[in-house]
Amino acid sequence: MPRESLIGRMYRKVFGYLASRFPPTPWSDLTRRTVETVQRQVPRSHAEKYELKTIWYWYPLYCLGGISFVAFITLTITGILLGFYYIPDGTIEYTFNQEVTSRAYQSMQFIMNDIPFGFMIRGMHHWGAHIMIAAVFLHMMRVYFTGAYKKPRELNWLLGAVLMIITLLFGYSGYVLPANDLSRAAATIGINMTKAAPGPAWLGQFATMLLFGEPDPTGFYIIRMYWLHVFVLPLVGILLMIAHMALVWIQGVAEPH
Amino acid sequence: MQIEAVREGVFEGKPGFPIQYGPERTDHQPGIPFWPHEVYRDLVIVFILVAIIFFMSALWTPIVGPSANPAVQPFSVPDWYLLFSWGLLKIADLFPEGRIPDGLGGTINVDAAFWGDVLSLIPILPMFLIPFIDRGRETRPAKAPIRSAAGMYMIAFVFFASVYATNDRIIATWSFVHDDMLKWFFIVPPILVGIASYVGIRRLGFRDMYWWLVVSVGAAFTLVTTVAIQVFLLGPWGADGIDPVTRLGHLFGNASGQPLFWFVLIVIVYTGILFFATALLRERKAKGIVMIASLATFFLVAGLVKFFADTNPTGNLLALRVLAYHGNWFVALPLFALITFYVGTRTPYSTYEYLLNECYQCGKCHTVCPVTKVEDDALGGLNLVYNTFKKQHDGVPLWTCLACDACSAVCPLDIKYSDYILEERSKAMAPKTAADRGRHAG
Amino acid sequence: MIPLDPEYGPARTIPHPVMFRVLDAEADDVAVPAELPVARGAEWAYYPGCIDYYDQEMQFSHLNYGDTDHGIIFDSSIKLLRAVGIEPVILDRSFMKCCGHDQLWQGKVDVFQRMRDYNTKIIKMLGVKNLVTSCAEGYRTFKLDYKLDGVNVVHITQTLYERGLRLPPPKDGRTIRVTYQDPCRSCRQMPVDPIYEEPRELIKRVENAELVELKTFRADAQCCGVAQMMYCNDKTKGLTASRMQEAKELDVDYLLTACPKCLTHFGCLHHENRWKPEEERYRYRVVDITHFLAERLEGETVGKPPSVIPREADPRLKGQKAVE
Repeated sequence: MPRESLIGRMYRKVFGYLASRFPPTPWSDLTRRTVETVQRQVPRSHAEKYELKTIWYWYPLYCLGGISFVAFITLTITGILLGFYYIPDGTIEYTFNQEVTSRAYQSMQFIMNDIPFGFMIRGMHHWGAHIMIAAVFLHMMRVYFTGAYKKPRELNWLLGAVLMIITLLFGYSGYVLPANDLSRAAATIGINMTKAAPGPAWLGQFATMLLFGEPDPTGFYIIRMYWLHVFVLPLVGILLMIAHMALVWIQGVAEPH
Repeated sequence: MQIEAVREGVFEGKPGFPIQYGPERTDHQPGIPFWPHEVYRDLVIVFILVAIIFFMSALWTPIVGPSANPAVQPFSVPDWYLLFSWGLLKIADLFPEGRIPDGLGGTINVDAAFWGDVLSLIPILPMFLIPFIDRGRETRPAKAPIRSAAGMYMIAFVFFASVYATNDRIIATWSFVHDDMLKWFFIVPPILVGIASYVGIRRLGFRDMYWWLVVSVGAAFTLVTTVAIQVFLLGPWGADGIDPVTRLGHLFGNASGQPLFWFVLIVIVYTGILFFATALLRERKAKGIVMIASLATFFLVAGLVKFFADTNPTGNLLALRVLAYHGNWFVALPLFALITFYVGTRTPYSTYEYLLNECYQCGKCHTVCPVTKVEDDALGGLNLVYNTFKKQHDGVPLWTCLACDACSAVCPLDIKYSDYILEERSKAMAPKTAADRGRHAG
Repeated sequence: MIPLDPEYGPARTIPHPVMFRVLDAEADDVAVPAELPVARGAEWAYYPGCIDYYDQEMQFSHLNYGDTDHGIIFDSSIKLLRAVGIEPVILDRSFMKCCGHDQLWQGKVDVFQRMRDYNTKIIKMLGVKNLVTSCAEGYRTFKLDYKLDGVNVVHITQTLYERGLRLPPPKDGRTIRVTYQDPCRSCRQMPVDPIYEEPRELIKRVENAELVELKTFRADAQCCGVAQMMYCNDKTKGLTASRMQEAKELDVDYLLTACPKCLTHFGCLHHENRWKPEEERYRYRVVDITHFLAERLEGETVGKPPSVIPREADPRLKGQKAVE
């Protein structure tokens, strides 16, 4: 009888350790089901199924949802790294040369200039954001043009539309953070437009205070935008993304036909 | 001859014969395993994407720029994805302002920001409502021209709204561009894009669109002529008190009016050629004439601009300003007519595989094909259409088909399978017959 | 795609190689004659097609115990056209070529194109206004695959129906049961002007004929099993056999068709079946519809007398058990 391999023995040891502490009965079935789900077969596309020699040029457009997700993962990782150094304080300060600055702006300078490869991380975050927004938009266009929002996928389309809005908000809150010229201009416009939201006057005021923290742009808005960008939107966004992708997993991809 | 022997040869219904359609189908074609095939495929794409992001951030590192300064009025534009909202905000100047009471005792301040908010909903609301508006079953974009054209319209609308957001920079760069023309960008180009898309997609989807084409190009021609007449009769920027005949004389007799006259004439003539070619000539001839006319017009206009810039600079500038002011009509409409003509007369996909691709494997052809009732092969059953798609026929279904068109008669998509057979057979026989001039060896 | 049999397609028995060599060889000679031996003006022209060749094939390549007569279609068509007041120019095979239908469907497109160009030139040269064919495949080919602008291509049944063919009352009062095979080429495959009703109307004008329909008819009609003369083995004969079995089950006296190809294949099976008298089960006549109508036109039979003997009267089967 051949001796059990090293890996086999290690696996048994580890599994034995866990199994004696967490009775496997409730969750072994779960393991099996997870393995089965992971081992599920990805259905063949039309061209693969019928071994057609035609190359349909629109097939890469079906990767766009995945590209958005990969870009989002990149953004999360680079965002975590940036978050170690970014200071969300937009209060206007002055350097000893009487130049305008703020702690947020200074932390940006620090990331770009002093941290090793900080500029790369920031650059990847910046370009990843543009790529994600472009991919989300193109993905939406692809789904629209191929009519993949029709029954039974209406709910998924609504989830996707909400995710599109969330992505735009991500982008917006993101470029308000560095406390530069563009951020201030964007914050000004954002505050004005939110104050003028259609509906009763108090609604606009309430929304402005909620999202920006102040009725006029002085710099306090940065902390609110930061919290939105770093916690609220990621939480909501990740949950909705999981739901969106789970629906695609369950319902299958609408094939171009 | 024994009928019983023939009856025994029929395989349908026998055990072991694979059931290819319906809930009891027995020949499920397996997919691709998630691990490791799909994981590897996806990892490649992930790596490529991350590499692209990495490369971009190395090559085009974003700068931080000057700090936010409350003392300085910032002159910057939002990032590209929110430009459309800013453009709509700017156009909100046109809308009436005031205060209206809300139902709860307060007032709503209707100003530019308010209208900007409301207008920004124009691209966003339909986005949510689409699955409930469009309840048809057709998914292929080429077969759903209205949906596709509406989508192109919205994309163009968002694009031109974004363009308008940069109007100050445009006017700073090109001084002869007038803001009024840019304001029309919200209306005219998206509609033109929508119509051109509609015509092109109808053509692509093998639907007749001759009348759509003629009417679109005819309308473009009519509008161009109308605006030209308006320009000449009323003056470039509106009535200025001079009667039309004198004005025309002025314009033509006056040195500074001549370039304008020539340019507008060229535009009218070109659009007219497009219209008459579309309406009267056969396709091939029309395409030739349009190509020659387009090239000639382009070079003529470029040459004239250069010529007048040298000999008559004031007239040239006036002409360019008028043309730019009415750019939506004098430039966009002829371009639209040309594009619509082109997409409306393109050769659609002609290979039969494109048409066969409409098949959604309902199986009715298989049911009625007389050959499947009597023929067997290694697959356990001859299913002409299905085997054709799977390329598993190694020629047998191709030559076994009786071309009786029983399949085409029942096909819900009206696919003419006998046409496909004809094409494939001629392709198979072609080298031999060309070489031996119709005779056969032996 | 691997053609296993390079000549006509893979793995099919080719039953009529001689005929096709002859027809294809005709395509090589494309010189259009300067003068054509036609007797009169060409408002109406009749194109008989290759029916003589089918007769030759049937009689020499198969031991033909039967009476399938293709040439009679020609005589009958002329008689019928005269009966409705048309004196057609006969587009004789001495100066016309085969219409090219089989060559086209066998994939020999350039052979077809040469034949087509030649035939089109002749038709234009004669100034033909109406081209009448008695062959469904010719009808489809001239209408769809040739570009004959200004020429009205019709099947003979259409002409007879439109010109109001009237048949005299029959000499004997016995009712005959008649069924009709819709040819694929002139019915299902025609996007314009399919010929479903005209033959049926003409049959109805025969007073003692009772028209019964086969199991599938009109657009659902099952093919007779022909495939461009290219596909002929036990399996396609099975199709032909099942069709003829349907006719037998209806207990018909005549199986009519409007296509000489259908006639060929029903006739071929009919004859094979009669080699062994105890197996002969299709005791009805298979004739072309023109032959049938011409027989009724003057109350006399045209051509050979019928040789279908009812089982009870068959002398060859004295005392033998019937095989069903």
